[in-house]
Amino acid sequence: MAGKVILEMRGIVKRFPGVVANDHIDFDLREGEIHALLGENGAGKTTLMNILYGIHQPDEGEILIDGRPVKLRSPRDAIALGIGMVHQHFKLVEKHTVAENVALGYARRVFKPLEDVKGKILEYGERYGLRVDPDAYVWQLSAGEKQRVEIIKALFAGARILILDEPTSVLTPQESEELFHIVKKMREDGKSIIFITHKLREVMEVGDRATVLRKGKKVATLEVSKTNPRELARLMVGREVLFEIERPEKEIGEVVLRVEDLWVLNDKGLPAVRGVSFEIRKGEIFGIAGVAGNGQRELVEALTGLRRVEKGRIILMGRDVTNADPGTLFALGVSHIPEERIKMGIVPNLTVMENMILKMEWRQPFRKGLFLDFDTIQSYSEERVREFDIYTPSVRVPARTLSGGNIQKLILAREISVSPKVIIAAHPTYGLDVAATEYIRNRLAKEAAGGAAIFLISEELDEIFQLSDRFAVMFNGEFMGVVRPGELTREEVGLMMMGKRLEEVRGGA
Amino acid sequence: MPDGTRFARILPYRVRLEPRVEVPRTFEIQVRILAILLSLAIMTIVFLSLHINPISAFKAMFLYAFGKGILSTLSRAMTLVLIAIGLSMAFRSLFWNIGAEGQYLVGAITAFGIGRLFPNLSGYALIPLMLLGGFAAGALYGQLPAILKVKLKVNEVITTLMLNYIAIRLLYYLVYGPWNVKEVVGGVEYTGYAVTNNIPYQAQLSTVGNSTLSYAMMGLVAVFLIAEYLIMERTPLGYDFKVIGDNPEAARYAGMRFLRLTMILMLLSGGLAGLAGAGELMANQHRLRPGFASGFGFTAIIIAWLGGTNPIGILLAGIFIAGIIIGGYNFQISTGLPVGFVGIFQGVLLFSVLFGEFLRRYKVKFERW
Repeated sequence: MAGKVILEMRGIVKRFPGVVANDHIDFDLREGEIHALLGENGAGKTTLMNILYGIHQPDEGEILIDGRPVKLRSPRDAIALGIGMVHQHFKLVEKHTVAENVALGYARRVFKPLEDVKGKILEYGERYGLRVDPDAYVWQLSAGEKQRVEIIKALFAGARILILDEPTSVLTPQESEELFHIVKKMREDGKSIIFITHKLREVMEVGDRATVLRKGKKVATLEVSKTNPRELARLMVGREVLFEIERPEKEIGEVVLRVEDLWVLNDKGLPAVRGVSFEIRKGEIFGIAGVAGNGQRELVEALTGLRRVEKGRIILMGRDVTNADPGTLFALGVSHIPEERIKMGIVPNLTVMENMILKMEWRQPFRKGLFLDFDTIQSYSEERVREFDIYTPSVRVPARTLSGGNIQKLILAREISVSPKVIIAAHPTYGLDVAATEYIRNRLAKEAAGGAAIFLISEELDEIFQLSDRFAVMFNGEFMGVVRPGELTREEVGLMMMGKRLEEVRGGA
Repeated sequence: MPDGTRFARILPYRVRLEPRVEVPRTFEIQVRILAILLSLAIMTIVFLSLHINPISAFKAMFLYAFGKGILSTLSRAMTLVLIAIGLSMAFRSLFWNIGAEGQYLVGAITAFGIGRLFPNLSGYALIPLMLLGGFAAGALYGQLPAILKVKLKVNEVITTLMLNYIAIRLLYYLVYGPWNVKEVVGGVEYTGYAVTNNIPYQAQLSTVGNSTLSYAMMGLVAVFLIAEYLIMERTPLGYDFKVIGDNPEAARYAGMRFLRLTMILMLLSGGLAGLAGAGELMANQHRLRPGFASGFGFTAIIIAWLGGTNPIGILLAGIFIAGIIIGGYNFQISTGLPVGFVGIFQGVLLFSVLFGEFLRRYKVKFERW
């Protein structure tokens, strides 16, 4: 199926202050192939693709398209050469319709530009399974549909090379399946696709070839049919990876956190959490699965005091803490690992050690009289850095200089080291590399065994399956049901994520 | 398109901005020196267009400011630095206090009122009382924008700026109205001048020689420069201010009490401006008049920016800008330039400092198309 080489990147080097993001990387793409670009976060995948899309300029190396060297100084150049990119975060105008979004910038006609655009959208829908209503407003669309609009936009611009950056990170399992289907159809049509991912299952599912990057260097390019997930994981991480986490023996104790008929509004003033009730016991991990935007964020914010509860109660150790403020909740033993770790979880320009005592700066022993006791703070932080294996040159560097995984470990260290009764963990491993993910999952399991009640939100079903003792599937602000891992198949959980209730799923409807 | 590639390719280069990841300390200093040089360069053009030899102009200005007029320069610098210390704290906590002018005025007015109320109190009691009154008045005047910002999300730039005008009008009312000068010289009562009486003699601060540079103000500046450093770098309070300034979301996440912290912040920021007003009254001007403030609160903004986060930087910036003002006035008188000239210099300097701030944050790259 795969034809001649249409794109070659040779010896690409890109340096950013302090790091070599791409270190002499060679990459090639054939006509009609799906080439998976695999690597952990920070391995240089996105940088390499940003170079190909003209967003960054390489410091060294050359790019050849159809055997001719090209200079890509901006995305405009890349588009002109038939390269399209679908970013992780969609770049659409929410208040416009699908057709208007596509027409924006790509319509050829001055009068009634939407006419031929709509026709084309329907045609792509037929040809590749990119089904989306041209007259629907973007804000009405699901993440999967928005992604299709982005792909259509790239096709409109004449893309024959399509870069998909972590395309499944926002999709349900079913939507991911549909995407794989679309991508395969496009391959049959002779398009070439670069599929950026760190999920091995996806590589095995859609990839023809896979290039593995690690720490800015290319490790290997292999035929997917001649490899296996274990080998890919080893190449990606640089060592053998265990896919199992240790689950220490533990006892489930008394109820620590009880939530009764909770109602919470979103930023637009509409109910985002609608009458949710649950309880978490000592030593238990209670998971929430679901597609982002179904009220998970609002639920977490209500539990941590960041958002008002309109109706219902939150009871912590028998005490009513409904609408208590975040400071009080932390003092009562509620730790919070926030979803937006850099936006919320750290103070980027303060040092690692200053970040390590956030929320505790007024407490003993970090404060002596009027002043902060920096000797104590430093030794405390150095202990945490050792214990949690945080990679930093010193505790006196600004927190922003840490990598994403190490920032997450810093937050984890801070939130866990106070022996909390409840840990609210929102997407704790989102975007982290395999090693950090493994570490954090093990650590959470260990904390539960140590007696903490853990509330875990994750879009990764694997994480929910692996960690939680019980989990709920959340859709449109409600629980579709609460089950134990193993009770339902992936597909059944996927159906619940799309709004089917447990009874319907079980009833086989 | 995400970047400016849509624009016609008029120039052979395009400009690209890259946020700086790491800003070395030496670069921070270089940027500030560059800003000063840039403002001097622009002023050179201004001078040339007025047919004035720029070299002799700068020489005249700076020779006076840092030579014969050094005590006046330092005196002015003390008042400005005191205000700038408070502003620097507020700015680092992302509270844009543009209202130092008003806080300064209510401080001076209150100090004057205390002096008027207790004309027979001894200096040992009256001086601390007036200074304290000035601080308290500025501190209270700063509370309204603090509360409005946190409780009702009213932009503090607007409220602090508008409160300046209220303070100015209050000053006018008092100077022309109830506190207007009443002096009897040689049996003739003088009234109607746009000034008040002098404050009691024992409340006038003693100064170096017959200059207006008072020992008390130097002491206060030294104390508060050190205090600011200690608060910001060594206490949990300063820690909270910095967290709010660097990442308000993290402050919210950490459960910080915004209302309480912002009120304390403005207690300090407004209080220092009020104290500066009282000090200026007691050391230098001795009486209120409509032009009592003449933009001190705004000039201090430039000092806070130019000085950066470091107390020594603020002190040096204060002395430099006071030098421009004092030297500029002197030069303006000797050459008969318009009054606005010193203001132009300050404005040019502010723009240069802001340009420097831009360079500090972004790396500007020129690339061929």
